[in-house]
Amino acid sequence: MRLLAYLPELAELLDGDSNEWNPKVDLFENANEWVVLVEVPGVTKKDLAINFEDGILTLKGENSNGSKDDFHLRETKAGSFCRDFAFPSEIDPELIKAELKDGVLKVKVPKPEESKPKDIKVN
Amino acid sequence: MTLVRWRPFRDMVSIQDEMKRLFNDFFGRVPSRFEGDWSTSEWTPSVDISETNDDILIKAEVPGMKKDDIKISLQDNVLTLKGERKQEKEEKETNFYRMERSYGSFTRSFNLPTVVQADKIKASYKDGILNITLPKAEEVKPKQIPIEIS
Repeated sequence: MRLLAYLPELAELLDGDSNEWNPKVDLFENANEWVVLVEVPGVTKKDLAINFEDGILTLKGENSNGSKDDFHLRETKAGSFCRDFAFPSEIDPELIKAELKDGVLKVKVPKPEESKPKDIKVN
Repeated sequence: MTLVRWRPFRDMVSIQDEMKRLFNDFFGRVPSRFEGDWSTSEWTPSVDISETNDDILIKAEVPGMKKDDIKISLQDNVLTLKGERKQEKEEKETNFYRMERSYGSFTRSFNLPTVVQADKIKASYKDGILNITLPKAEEVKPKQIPIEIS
């Protein structure tokens, strides 16, 4: 059990970044696109960076929580985050759309023609 | 086939945080008159409670919620936050690859550290964060008493 107390430090050491948090993500698809929903409460548009390269969608950002008040309870995480997702590389990055609303980032990645579901008729 | 950075240890920390909170909520929770309260929470928003000279400040992370779906109440110096996060219709009938977010209703209650002026509580909602300012009652505010040294 004692080892568990060091887990956050250990994760920092092994995963290589300090002061990072992991936002919660939903990823789903419909017939025409993939949709990524990321919970980023308190993060503003200017603190977000979205990148698509070689089929990898990278979402980066940070929130600040710089108050120095006396805390009775502190559960929120502050600092930077980074999450990446693999997509087929044929996607046209120009067609990717992102919007930020009520602390949720929504990224829509349109499917290339070859990834769309096709009905195949039995002869 | 493209590669995505593998960070298993970070996921372990997330799980550990959830476990800690589960225990804290269970053992540290405010006794409620309605025993059913416990079972109605489908998720738990992260909350900060801090204190300045004049106010108690509460910050709750409720991304994806609408202002009107959040209810705040104060009784016997216990502050209760309630709400329901709804899943958008288009998300319900699709294929999920990842589902880390939680939907549904939540209830959290906090014993306030000092007495507050109930009629002067202010709340605002922006970018998925609910901020509540609860001014302390005059009698519990720290007072500076100048002492003359003779």
